[in-house]
Amino acid sequence: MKGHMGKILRVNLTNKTVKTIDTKQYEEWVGGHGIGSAIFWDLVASQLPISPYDPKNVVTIMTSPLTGTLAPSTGRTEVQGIGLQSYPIEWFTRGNFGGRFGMMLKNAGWDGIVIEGKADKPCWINIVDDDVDIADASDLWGLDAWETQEEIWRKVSGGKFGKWIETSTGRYTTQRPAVLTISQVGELGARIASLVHDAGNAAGQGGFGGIFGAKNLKAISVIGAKGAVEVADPKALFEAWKWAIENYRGDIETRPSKTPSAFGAQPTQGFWGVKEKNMRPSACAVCPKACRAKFRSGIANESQCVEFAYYSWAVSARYGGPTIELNKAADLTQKYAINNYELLRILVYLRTLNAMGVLGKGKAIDTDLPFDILGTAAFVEELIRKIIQGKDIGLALREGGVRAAKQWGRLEQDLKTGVLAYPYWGCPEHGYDPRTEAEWGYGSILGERDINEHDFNFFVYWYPLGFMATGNFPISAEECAKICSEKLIPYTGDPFMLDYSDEGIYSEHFVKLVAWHRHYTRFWKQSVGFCDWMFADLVNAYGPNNRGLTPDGEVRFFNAVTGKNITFAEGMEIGRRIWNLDNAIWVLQGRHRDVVKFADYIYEVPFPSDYPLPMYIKGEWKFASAKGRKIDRAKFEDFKTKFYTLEGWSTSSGWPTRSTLEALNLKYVADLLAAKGKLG
Amino acid sequence: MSEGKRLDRRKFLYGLGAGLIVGGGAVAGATMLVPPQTITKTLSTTVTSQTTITSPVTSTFTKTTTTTETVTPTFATSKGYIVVDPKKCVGCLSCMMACSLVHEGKTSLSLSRIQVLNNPFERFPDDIIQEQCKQCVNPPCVAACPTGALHIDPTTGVRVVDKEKCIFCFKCMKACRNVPSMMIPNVEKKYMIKCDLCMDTPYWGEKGGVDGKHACEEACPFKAIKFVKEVPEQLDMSGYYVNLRSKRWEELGLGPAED
Amino acid sequence: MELAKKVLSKVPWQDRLVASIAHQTTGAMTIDIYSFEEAVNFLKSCRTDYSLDELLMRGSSATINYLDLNALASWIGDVLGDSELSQAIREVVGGESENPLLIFREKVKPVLELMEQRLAQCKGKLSGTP
Repeated sequence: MKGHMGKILRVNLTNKTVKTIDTKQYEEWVGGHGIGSAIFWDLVASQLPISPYDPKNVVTIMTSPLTGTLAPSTGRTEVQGIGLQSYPIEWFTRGNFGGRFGMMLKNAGWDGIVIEGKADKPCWINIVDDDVDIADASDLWGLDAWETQEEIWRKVSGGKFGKWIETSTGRYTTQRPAVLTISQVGELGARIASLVHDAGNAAGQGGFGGIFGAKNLKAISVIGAKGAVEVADPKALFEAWKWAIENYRGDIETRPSKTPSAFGAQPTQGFWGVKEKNMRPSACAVCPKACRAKFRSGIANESQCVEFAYYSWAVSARYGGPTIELNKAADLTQKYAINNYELLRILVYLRTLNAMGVLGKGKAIDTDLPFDILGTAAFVEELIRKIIQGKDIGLALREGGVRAAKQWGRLEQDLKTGVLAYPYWGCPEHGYDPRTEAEWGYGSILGERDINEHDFNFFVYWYPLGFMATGNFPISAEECAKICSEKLIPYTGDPFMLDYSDEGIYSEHFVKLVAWHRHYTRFWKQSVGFCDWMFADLVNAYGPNNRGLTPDGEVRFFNAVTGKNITFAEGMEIGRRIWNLDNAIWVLQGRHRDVVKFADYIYEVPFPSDYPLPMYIKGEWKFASAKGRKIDRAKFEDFKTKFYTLEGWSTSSGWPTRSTLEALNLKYVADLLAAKGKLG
Repeated sequence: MSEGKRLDRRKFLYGLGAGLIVGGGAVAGATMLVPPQTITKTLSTTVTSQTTITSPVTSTFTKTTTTTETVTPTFATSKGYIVVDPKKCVGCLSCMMACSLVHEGKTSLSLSRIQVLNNPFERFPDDIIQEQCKQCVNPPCVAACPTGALHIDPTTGVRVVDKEKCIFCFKCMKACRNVPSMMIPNVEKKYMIKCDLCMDTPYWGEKGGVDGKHACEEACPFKAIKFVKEVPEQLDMSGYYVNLRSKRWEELGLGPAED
Repeated sequence: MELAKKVLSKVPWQDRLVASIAHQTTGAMTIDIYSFEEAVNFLKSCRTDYSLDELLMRGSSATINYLDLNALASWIGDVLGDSELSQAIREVVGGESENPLLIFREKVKPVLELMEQRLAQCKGKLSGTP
């Protein structure tokens, strides 16, 4: 397939060997998540269940055929493996990060990297085109994520910047190595450790930082000057680029003010700190959106979204609004490569326990964390120090909020009240509560983590919130539903898929919405590489008649690069295939419908705030609030049954059936499940 | 950290032919259908003083001095130039993808004739280096080329490489005063490549060249690249780094409208 | 004096006031408020001058901080014991509404003014200034 470089790097850290996997072997899985799951299955499935810390755990880092071409916002790289984060079962999971690593890897001639085994002492992988070296990391171990990168830049390109560098492979580049690294937190094998690349790109979820640390792998550096990505139809690709930007986003400086969307969104959309006048928007590779920013102060470079949100509530409470402390707090989480969603929910939890008189100096959970300075960057720094030193509550917190609560004997009660806001698989709640924006919660619990997939979120949540807060409704709920009914191939023609009413979220229609979401994200985003903040582009006021570029855009770019002629529906089928493979892996890890349950508070505590969503009530579409809602246990069990039916999985177990798997050309998967007594 | 080369770049001094190697028949024999243009540099210095030059009466006035410096180049000048706004550039590298795509049919950072370097830890505006071929009025690359592979296109004045004649000696790359050099080695094909203002783009559906479109400009999603026909300021190259930001850029909270 | 002390005190967890912070890209968070001064700070951090254009175009910095003003009034009356202020707030807010977000936006400024006045009064009383 054009777009592929043709080889995947396979590194065995135990034996210190470097081999190549022919990408053609996995071409049917296309890229990213598809190839990652397929390789994981081949290398590990028959040995499951194993611990994530087991050297047999394989981590895959995969690009897509579109990475490093002119397809917009395809600079993402997918990371997979058995993760450390979820509870009680450590699911095979995924993380994803942006920046320029994927592009550089393609330029080095690789489609991805597979990491097996465990090194006997700290090492880092140095990739210079097809020269791959497993190098000693004793002088990198103990450095934070930023220090490590700067040190590796010195090692690989002599610290030079601004000039052409001749590589050891006789090639030339002006670019610095792209490095993916852990901090001291990852070195400790902490479950809350992330992987960081450049200043602010991170694979936050899954605890992959801790997996790297457990494997004694400090960093992967890649510099690529030899490779060039073959594009099947360069003219069509450039045309598609122009078409997408002109018709779905327009010129940022001259376009009228309209309700934007994923693709049409505003640059620096993700920057939620304190802006300085002297700045620029900052983009990942080949992205026309540029969510982040860089400043004269050099603080909060490339940070965005939860890197601020995890702490902005505390800063505002202390200072009456955001201050530079917030920007500094963002930098801390990047340098120390920590999962920001965990930090968010941990901090709120600690503060609540402190307010309850349960946690603090001399209290039942004894800590000298200085709550009087909560809201300053220094408070976060102190917390991180405790985590790294393993002192005070720091040791427990390395395990994440849920396991810390368990250690403190409070897990069950705090999940019952929602004081511990971890609704699905011991993963922190994202801000789109299962009781309200159900497609997010359902997708997460039917999967293995907080999905972090905004495809519907932009217009089912933010639009109505903005509309209601200003009394201005440029796009109606009915129109959103209608647009979705046109675009959600292969489930077109059903506007009620977008009904978030108390009845709607348990309906057959909603089952299709959730299934569409799983299949779409598995293929078009996590395998083809489109960024979650640009795709899917469903409702977009900059597009013709408020319509975004999904499903046409994805197909245009994909076919122009690869030379294939697939349809959107065919891509969705590949997504469904990948989703089935993932489920099979989870089944081998111990999945059964009986464990697919939200935390108690989702069923027992009414959602306390206003959360407007599109709803069809009494024959009328409107944006209405889901305040006070809880998920009904019995109705949700019924929803699961309907979902399993649609997916062709056993309704008693949630396991895929032989007929479903064989129809997806996954007979070998069915055979292994059968051998393990786990076929649906 | 940036090497601090930006100051050096901007202090190029183009001697009036002195030091340029005008050797070999290749250059002397070049047809010059576009006559060399005289570049006039206008320096405006504003001085507030209490002395007058025309009258003995002391008064406060503002004097503007205009000096004219003439650079008479040896070569024909290009009919077009790419200018950039490094304060607007977001570091997406789309221009590099587009450039390599239309010229080579494949995408590669090392085959792009425009180079953007992103330093994630550096402070704005030093965090991004955005460099393009300047189509220099006095091109050291052309002067350095021993075979005449690097020459002036007779119709357009664009400085271009004849791949057949290039012997891959790297003299042009060393001679180019841009940092990084805008003469780029295509190691696989064993010839140098450079910005040709999209004159030769077999993989593009658009017409390039001095009267056509330019891939980097077309691709840039933020309009941080522009093609112009007027010769930019040569003495300190400041004319190649321009402000392409509107007031709206600042209103939208994306950065300063003024430099 | 007694009232001033009570109004400025920190309330126990079960008596907290729940507000929310909603942001485009990070969702809705509930935020616990444990004192009158914290409530004032929270209301101060609530911007109300945003247009839809700004919220959605410059969504990066636009947060919708929101608090149910009737719930605030109840909390001030029932938990903090300041029934006078509670009543004053209710009068400003003018009852329940189908769009509490819009009501918040329209009424938060006058409510904040009342609360700031009260805060100053209480602080003054405790420090002995007339």
